[in-house]
Amino acid sequence: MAVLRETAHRVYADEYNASRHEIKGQGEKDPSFLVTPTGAKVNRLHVVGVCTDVEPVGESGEVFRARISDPTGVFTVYAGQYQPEAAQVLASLQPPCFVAVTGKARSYEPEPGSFFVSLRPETVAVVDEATRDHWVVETARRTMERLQAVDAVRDEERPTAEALAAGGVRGPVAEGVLLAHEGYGPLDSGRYWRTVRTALEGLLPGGTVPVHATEGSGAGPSTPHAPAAPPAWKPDGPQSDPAAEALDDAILETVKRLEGDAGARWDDILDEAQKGAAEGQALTAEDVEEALNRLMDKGLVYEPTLGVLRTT
Amino acid sequence: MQATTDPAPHFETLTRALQDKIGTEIDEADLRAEFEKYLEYGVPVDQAVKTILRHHGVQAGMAPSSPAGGAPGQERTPLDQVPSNVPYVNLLVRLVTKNTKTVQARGEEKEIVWGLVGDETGTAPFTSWRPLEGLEKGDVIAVQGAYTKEFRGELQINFGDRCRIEKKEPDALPKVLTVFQEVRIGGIAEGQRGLRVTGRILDVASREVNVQGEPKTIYGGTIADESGKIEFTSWHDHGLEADQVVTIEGGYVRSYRGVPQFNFDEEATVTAAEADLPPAEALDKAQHVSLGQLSERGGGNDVAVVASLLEVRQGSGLVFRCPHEGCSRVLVSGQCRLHGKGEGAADLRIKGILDDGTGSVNLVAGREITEALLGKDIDACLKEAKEAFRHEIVQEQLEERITGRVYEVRGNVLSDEYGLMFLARTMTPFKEDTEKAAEALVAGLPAEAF
Repeated sequence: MAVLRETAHRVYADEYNASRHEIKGQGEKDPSFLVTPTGAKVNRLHVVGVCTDVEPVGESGEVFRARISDPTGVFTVYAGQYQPEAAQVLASLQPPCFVAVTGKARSYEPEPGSFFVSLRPETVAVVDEATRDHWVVETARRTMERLQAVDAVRDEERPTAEALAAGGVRGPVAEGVLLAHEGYGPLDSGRYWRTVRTALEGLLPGGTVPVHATEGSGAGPSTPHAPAAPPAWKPDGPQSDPAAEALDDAILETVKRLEGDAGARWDDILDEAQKGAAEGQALTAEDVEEALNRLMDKGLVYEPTLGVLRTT
Repeated sequence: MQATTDPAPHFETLTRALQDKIGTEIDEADLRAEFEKYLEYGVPVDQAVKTILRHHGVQAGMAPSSPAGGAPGQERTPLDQVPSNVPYVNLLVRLVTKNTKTVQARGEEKEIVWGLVGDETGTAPFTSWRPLEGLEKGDVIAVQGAYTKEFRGELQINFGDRCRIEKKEPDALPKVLTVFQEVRIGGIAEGQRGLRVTGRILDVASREVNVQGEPKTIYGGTIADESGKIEFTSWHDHGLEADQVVTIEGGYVRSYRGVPQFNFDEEATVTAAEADLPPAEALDKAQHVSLGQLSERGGGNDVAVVASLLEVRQGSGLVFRCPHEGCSRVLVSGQCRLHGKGEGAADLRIKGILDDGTGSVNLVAGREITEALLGKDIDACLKEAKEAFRHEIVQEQLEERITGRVYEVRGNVLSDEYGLMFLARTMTPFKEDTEKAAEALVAGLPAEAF
């Protein structure tokens, strides 16, 4: 019996990067999956976005890291000697440009508490803006389908695949959503509904699809489809949220305090930030990550290697 | 005294109950010897029958304990109460359909009769291992000593060599049998039979086939209603014509590589229907589906999908096909798998992966589509390949041009051991007003998104 090909899922970067639940395959042929918060059970992922940056990493120089921005965040893509064709295409990219990447979900957990996801490409292709826009729409549809299932799970006392199927949820979606429910507990689905809205708004009349870059504040990221326009990116969160601003300031100070020569490690930042916030309200890893994302968007911090942050 | 009982009907009961095994596991002479030995020893005849049946793995109680030699008027079992896997049952049924086919049984050709029987409680498929001479579709028959099996979870009735079949008056059963299952064409699924389908014939053509060594003219085409369309095969000349609206009673479904096809034969009734169906042009449209739906169904006929081409696979671009008559295999290193070396005929094709986020299928597209997507014809490709000394150059051009792009693809989808295979008839870059699509989606977002 041939093993059927894994469907390539469509997930926004904001959600993909928040994934923490992994299902490890047992045997050699048994695939591993990353379950995203809304329940995409990802072995393979298809992403279309703006490549903002490609650089060689590692000592041998054979590994390339690319950053692919969608309207909600940034995918990190690594291609090395085992993906020679994809690595070759990545190396030849001239950012900024629109690219389509299909690849396998990867995760990296250097120690408990720090968890990083990336993408190991199978194919990389330069595409056009219309293809990216279609991906944003398609990813909205798939994410909305999962979110509706998430809401259905919340309404059920004991959610089962059968109950969800009776409610019209497709089998694979039901499976993923139940796995996510197991792995993450009850989900604040509003956050991901807002992610969908953010992504779609860029396509509306007069809108601009935001592009995110995690590094460098120099010229700022630019949008290939509007080269003459000023950089058209915007932070994830509402810019005028004073609580968020205060948190950002506190986190920025923490990074400065910890970075030394080698940079501040992600979990140290989290520890420090949580200590600092102990008197007030509890601070979650997610809060800290969002703050760091905003700081990266503002160009105040960057991530020279995975899990290590520095101020600019 | 037992001895006064005529043992013959009891022995008949035994042979009927064991008819499945006689000639294979059981020799009839041995059975008779065994039976007579019991009687010799003064075992009551009922007891003897039960004991022998048990010896041969038939549960006592399933076979009648009294001689059921078929006294007329013997109680019958309504079809909806007939259990599967019983060796003996009496029925009063109408022959709803009756067909014959030749099978190989123990190395010999044997003609069997098959079809559907029904009574006022339902219908069931039957197979008769003996000819039903003098019986026609619609006749009512009393059957004594049929045996039953289960096939794919469905009751299957068998008339063995030893059962007794008697023709009854037509009014022995209520005339109106609700035997046909009315279905919409879009809802037709594998394994269904006894269907009543109403639709418009979109196209029909005759072709010659070989049925058991005999040439036969069959009629193939497409029939549609508002819910969908399906390919059909009529094994009899029902005088079908394109654009007719007809009701077909007594059709059945067979799947070919995952795609259901509607079949009917001379036993089916075809009548002009009053139904007010849209014109052929309106019905003859591809059904838009997602790849996830196709995976669930296991295939589809004339479907359209919008999906991304994730990968161009090896063996795409410029290929050379075996020149041997009737063979069109692609040559690998100049060799056909069957016919060895040959001067191949140039062709263009795409093998790839289509994926829309709900499912993933293998795509095969031919020369016309490949030329259109490359923007040049096969001669230009041959010339470039010759100049570059590499045929692979065309595959590389395809990879660069179409990987990651979105296409609307129309065609048939079959299933094989590698999953689903989409045979593209047309494949065009998908254009969509994303502004409108986004507006519609935003309008559908729940309050918590804001």
